[in-house]
Amino acid sequence: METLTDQNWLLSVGVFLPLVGVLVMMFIPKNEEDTHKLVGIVTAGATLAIGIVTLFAFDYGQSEKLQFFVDAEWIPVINSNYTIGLDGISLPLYILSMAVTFLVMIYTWDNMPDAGNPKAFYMLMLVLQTGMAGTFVAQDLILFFVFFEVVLLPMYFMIGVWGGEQRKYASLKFFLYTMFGSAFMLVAFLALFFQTDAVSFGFAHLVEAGAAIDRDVQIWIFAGMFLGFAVKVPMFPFHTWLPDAHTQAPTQGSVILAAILLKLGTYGFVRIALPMLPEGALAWAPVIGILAVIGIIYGALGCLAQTDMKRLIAFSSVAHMGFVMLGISTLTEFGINAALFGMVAHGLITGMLFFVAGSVKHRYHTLEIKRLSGMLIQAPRLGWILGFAAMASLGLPGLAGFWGEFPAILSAYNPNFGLSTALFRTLMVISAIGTVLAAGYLLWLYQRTAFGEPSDEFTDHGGAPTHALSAAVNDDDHHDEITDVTPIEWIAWTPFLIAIVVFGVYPQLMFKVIDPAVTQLVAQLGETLNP
Amino acid sequence: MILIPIVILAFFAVTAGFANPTPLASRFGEEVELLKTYVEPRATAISTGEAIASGPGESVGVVTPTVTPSAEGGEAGGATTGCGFTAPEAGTVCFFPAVSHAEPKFWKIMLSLGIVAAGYAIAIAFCVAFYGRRDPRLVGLTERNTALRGGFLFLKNKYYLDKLYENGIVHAVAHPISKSAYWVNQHVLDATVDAVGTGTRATGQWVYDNIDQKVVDGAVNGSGWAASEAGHGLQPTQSGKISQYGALLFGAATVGAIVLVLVNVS
Amino acid sequence: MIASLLAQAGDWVSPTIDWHALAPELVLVVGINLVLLLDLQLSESRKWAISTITGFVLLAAFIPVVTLAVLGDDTRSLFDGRYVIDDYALVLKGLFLLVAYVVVLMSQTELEEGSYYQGEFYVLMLCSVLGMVMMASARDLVSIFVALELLSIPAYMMAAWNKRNRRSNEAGVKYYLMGVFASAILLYGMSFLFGVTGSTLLTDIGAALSDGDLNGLEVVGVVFVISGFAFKISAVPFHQWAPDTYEGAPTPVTAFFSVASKAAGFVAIMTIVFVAFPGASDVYEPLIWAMAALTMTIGNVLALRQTNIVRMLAYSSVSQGGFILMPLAFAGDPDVGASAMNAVMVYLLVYAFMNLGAFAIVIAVSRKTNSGEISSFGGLFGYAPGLAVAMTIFLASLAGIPPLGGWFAKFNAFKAVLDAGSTSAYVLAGIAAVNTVIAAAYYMRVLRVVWMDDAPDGDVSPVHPPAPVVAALAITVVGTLVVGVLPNIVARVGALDALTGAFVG
Repeated sequence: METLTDQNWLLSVGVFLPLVGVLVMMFIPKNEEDTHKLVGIVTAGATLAIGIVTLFAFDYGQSEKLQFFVDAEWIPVINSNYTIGLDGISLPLYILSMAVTFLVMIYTWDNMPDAGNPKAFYMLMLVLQTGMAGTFVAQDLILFFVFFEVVLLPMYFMIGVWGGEQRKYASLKFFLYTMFGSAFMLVAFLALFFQTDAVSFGFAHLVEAGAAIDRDVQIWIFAGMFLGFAVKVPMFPFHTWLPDAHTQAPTQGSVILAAILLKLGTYGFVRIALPMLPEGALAWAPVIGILAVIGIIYGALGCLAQTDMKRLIAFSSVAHMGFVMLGISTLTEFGINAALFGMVAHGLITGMLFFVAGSVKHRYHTLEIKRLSGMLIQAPRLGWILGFAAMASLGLPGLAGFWGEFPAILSAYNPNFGLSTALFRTLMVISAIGTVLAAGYLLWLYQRTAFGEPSDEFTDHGGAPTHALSAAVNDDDHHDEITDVTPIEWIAWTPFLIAIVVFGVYPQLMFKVIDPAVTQLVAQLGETLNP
Repeated sequence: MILIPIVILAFFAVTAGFANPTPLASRFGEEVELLKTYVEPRATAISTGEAIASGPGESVGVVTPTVTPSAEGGEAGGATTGCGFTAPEAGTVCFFPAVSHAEPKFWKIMLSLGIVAAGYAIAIAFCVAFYGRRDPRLVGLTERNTALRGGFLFLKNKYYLDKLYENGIVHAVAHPISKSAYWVNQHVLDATVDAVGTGTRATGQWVYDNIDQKVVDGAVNGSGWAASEAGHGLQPTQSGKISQYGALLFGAATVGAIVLVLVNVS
Repeated sequence: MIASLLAQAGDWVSPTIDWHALAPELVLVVGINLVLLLDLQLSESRKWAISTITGFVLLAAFIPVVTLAVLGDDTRSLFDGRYVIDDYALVLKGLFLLVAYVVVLMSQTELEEGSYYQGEFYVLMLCSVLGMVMMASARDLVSIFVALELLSIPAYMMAAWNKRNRRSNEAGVKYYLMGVFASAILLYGMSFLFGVTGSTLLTDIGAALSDGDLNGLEVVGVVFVISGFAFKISAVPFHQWAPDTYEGAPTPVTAFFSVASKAAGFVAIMTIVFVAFPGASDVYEPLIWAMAALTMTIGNVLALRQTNIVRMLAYSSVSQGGFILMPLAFAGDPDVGASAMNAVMVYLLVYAFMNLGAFAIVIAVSRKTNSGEISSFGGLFGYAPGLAVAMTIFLASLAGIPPLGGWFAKFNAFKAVLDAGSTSAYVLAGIAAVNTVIAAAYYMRVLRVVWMDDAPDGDVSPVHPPAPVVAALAITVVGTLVVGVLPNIVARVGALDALTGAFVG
């Protein structure tokens, strides 16, 4: 595969810069909390700046090629190299991970979870950032695996230390479940390695050589990878860690989990499983499609049963990732494009919803839907943002969510490479029903929380507009007033809101980056599957 | 108060009348018929040759040449554009069906104006007699004369059209239909929607409680429980008694040896 | 009979001895005597010096290991190939000396503050290390057995070193009795091998068994020899002494057992398997396969329910043994042999770092809490974040999470197994994958207590671990991290040709 190596220091710096921040913070005493926050934000900001430089340096005319390519010796004894590169598929997710981390850190300035200790919290977020960015640029299976796993521990501690009541159970479940998947994924990686003459773990080689493996073997290897990635996505029936983890995680953890971590799984499918094992992918595609659609309906049904706002949003992720997986399972350019768009859109929208949920929790000290009402009266801006995000989430045309969902459904009309049209059209119809259910639970949520009169429980707390901008809200004081969106929240949220609109109105902005790479991917699949 | 709308309407009526004085058209040219020239559709003559090429897209294909009846009499030739009253030139067709007007006849105009004037006169005379002089012949006339009372009531009830409409059509026909339609709407259509809604929600609740929490999540937690219980179950093997440990040590070595001998030595 | 023996004795000529090759052992022998003599001379208040001297002895023994590694790229074979110094042996000698050094660092304050005899302890430890260093070079059934007993017998005494503690005594006695049983099995098996092949030299045995068609006696010999060493590596079902002994013995001793003794057992198995049993792969492969699967599974599920940290680490060490053993189940496959050996060597090295580190933390924390319960680690992240992070590194590494050393060890083990590519290999890899998750459960449970719970007694005064323990922690943390990030540093250790070269040549 042709690669571009100009300015290839950008990626390494972008990936490892957060660790410099971690090192600096290590030597700052724990009680200088603001310094830690500042160092964290500055590091994440610098990382994002590197990301933006990357964005400008990226050659959009050749987005199907790996750019900023580095191939250095790392563990020669197992034929694994430090190979990194960026193409149209990874670019949006790579930048998204940087932006989300940065904004989450800004949000944390005012909204440190109860357990305190910003030093550890910011350090963990920075480590997490390295893991996420690294996963998206890795072009070597072992490197990918290492980065893929690096995110586990920080997230475990984020949920476990700063999370809600059930945090211990949720964090362990998250950890073990993901570990379970990745153990089998590693076995599959090794099997793939040995089936391709044990020459290299580099993606380029495996894509080339993987296609030649026997179909039966491919199916088995794909099964192992499927387990690893499907847990991460999460696909039905491997999703049960997600509602627990999301609900118990601190707001920051939920946002990062929803916006980036879930994408590691879908990204793995697109980047690794599909191109390296075309026959396996073709054999598994109907299974993936069916599970994806079950996930769509099932996630929506799960949402309808929820009494907790955050848990509802968590369940909606199961449904939304179902659309992404449906797009991937069609093996069409259209579907994979939609899936990649859907990943970013879901990251922005669900991230935003979790932000709002976090702020609601912060103000009302509860997320029980039936206790909340009249948010539009008490905190109108917060209420409107919730409404906006809910609309975007249910796939309203003109907002980003639409371009992930709708083309994914549409792509199932005509699946690629001789996949059963009847099956996929059935899936298409069922998934379309899923969008109706999505509108149902989101509007229901919105109606119950935002409309109506504020409940008596919270009306004593005011909501007078004069307090709308008072920033600090003391968590321990339960007589605090219900404030509207604070300036820090505005800073952290505005980019999300703008991005949701911009990508909704002008999706081509992202599609044109993704599309050439996807086209090439599907063409590669075609070489094997359409001889 | 009723006066104000009536004044407005009267104003428009008079204005509109003078804006379209058809009888004057023959004398002053068709331009005086302001309303007519403004409102009435005009046909345009287009040459059949270029109609296909340059005509407005949709209509070209379906147009059927309409030959206008040639105008009768000299007074009809008003239209200077199009072919409303004129025969289209040779080789051209009209797009719009010709509009023909009755020819204004002076005696007809005078007759109608006369009737109107007579009506005015009778009405004024009646009003003067009835309201002004309180003529005893007229006051209470409808009470005395049955036929006239019938006519009065007939007029007063607006020819009974409203009653007829209300009872005959609205109550007898429309109400039952609308009622049943509304019933269907509420009890069938809306109920279906509601049932789908509540049913979906109930399904959601059921799936979540029974499938998700019990089966899917249960399998996850169950595997953890099973592993942990297996550990608990194996705990007794760790009895701390050296004799048992020794027995297991020798026993396992012996069993292993026997099995492998049996497998490998044929 | 006697005459013939005398006649042979008459022919006996003193073998030429490569003193450089034997230098590490000789340094240790001198050091043992030095420590023994000094211990007699030093007054009670100066006993602390003993541990320092022991440390220097170990470092001194390290010097010839380094010079041998730097100078000699050819294998030095002594006594008709019964004692061989090759890269394989040198790496292992270095490992044993390093582990012993770290254990000395960990023991120092523990022994000073407890009511222990210090001088004798270090003498015994040095003897045990000498046995291990010899084990790395031994290529003969007799020298292997001598090395094994030399490393084991001092260990029995060390287990009971806390002599006023009933559990420690019990630990010592159990270890001793079980060790004797295992030695009996081992010797019985060796006698079979000698009887059938007529030689104790491993290369001769290998040649005699190479036809692959084994008779019953040979099979029994192979099984018993491996079973005897399986005791040393506490493989299921020969593991039961381990938790009892580990829990009862003083913590530094437990660390020593769980790393050094276990590694010595693996060295013996590896040497025998690769040099003497290439023809017996049909016998030992299923045996090791079953032992590996059982060891990792049973060790893990038993560890799940433990409430005592040392006991949990004991079971964890049992299950890690299963992972180390796993690649050897396919050692007979000529393609896999090299990577299997590499995997075991790398695992032993990484395991030494991370397990010693975990024990060092236990020592540091229990100095404050005086408890071995897992719950006593509550609040550690609050009052000693450094120790908490170090503990996180060790336990996460044991769980096999990148980028900590453990992942590379586990990865290599998986890689070697999958290299075999057979169905049984995939099944074993699947079992190992599930076990990785079970293992993560109990490691993470400890970390959960460390990070998320409050101190059980409410005492949140900071911990000040003694300097030697800090040094031990520094060595182990750096080792664990460096191996994880740059695995290539250790990945080259233990190339198979270094070992098999001995009998090919």
